[in-house]
Amino acid sequence: MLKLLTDFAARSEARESRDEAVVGQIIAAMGRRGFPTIGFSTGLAEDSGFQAVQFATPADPVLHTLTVVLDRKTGGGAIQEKIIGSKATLRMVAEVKNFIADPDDLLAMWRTDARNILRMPMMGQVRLDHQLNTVTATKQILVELTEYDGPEDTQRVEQTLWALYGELRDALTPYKRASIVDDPM
Amino acid sequence: MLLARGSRDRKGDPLTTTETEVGEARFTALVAASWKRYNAWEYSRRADDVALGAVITSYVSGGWRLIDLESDGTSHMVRFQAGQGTDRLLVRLVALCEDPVRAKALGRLVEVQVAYGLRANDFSAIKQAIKDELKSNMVENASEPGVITVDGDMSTGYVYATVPLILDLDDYFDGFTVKAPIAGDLHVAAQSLHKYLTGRLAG
Repeated sequence: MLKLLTDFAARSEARESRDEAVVGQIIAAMGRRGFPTIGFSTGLAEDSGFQAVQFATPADPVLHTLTVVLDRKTGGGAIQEKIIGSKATLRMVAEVKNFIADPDDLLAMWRTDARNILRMPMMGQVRLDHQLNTVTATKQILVELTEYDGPEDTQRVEQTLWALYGELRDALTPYKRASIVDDPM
Repeated sequence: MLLARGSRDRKGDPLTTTETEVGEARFTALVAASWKRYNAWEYSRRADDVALGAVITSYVSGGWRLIDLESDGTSHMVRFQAGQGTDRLLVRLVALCEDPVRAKALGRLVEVQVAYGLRANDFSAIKQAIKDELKSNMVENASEPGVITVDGDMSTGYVYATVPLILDLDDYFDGFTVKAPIAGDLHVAAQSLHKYLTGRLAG
């Protein structure tokens, strides 16, 4: 009887923890690339499907940080998973930080910022945002968690991450300025 | 120079171009020094997050599956399940020295709880483990480093052996660079817990 109950609990746990397993795969892929974690946010108790992880990008001279947000939308229950799958949004936010102090450079950056804020720039599906010395690029896709949560899915996880990373990095490269200090991240 | 026009000194006299350039260079130096000080604080604040990510990377790359992740920024908990089995590993990590002054004086200390879980085959083993946990809650030294406590989880049928440790992250990381794998030390703790727990469950 105990075995029957614990088997049922184990299956239920495996289904409920599918998003954590994908987050684990994402952190491992980033770690192998040399991007360490520098921040975690697992959301509110009533929103247990939300998980955000921030990474430093010391090997990348353009980016300051990368943030990956996985927000589970469906598939918590057995019937729901069977019918509509375990869907989640995967959002990546790449950040460029400009460490500048020369008044001429600051003024030039402010003019670019003002122009971009008025235009609400869109580059395909990449959204750009300027906030003082920071420029971010964001892209969000929908993923099926069952295709990303196993050890056999490592390559698919990496392909998805590096495709997003490359697109966001290309969008941000024109906004990176020469810095007065080394980027700590 | 954009700001050379109309820039004035403290007495209100117009600045020459050279004086403006010297002032701007000094301002740039002040901002650069401020960034360096700010970054030292940031390193200190994020050391526990770097360690947590290194633990996850190591175990997931080794075939373990992450099944639980909770974090409020300073207190983190991760739970893994063995890829080919049912054994579980729980790591709780709490930053003790996020403030750079404390970190400089004591090291980047973290309190780490390592717990190894085995799926119990009979109900009495879980019941006994829960009893033991209740008893150990009444003992004052149960939370001291190296003291192993046993607890049961009735809903999942697991029995866990837990040990608290205090680690200095400066032994494992230099900024974001790994000096020695922290997961290696957690693994030796888990091995000892596994041996102890197997013995306890065998009676």
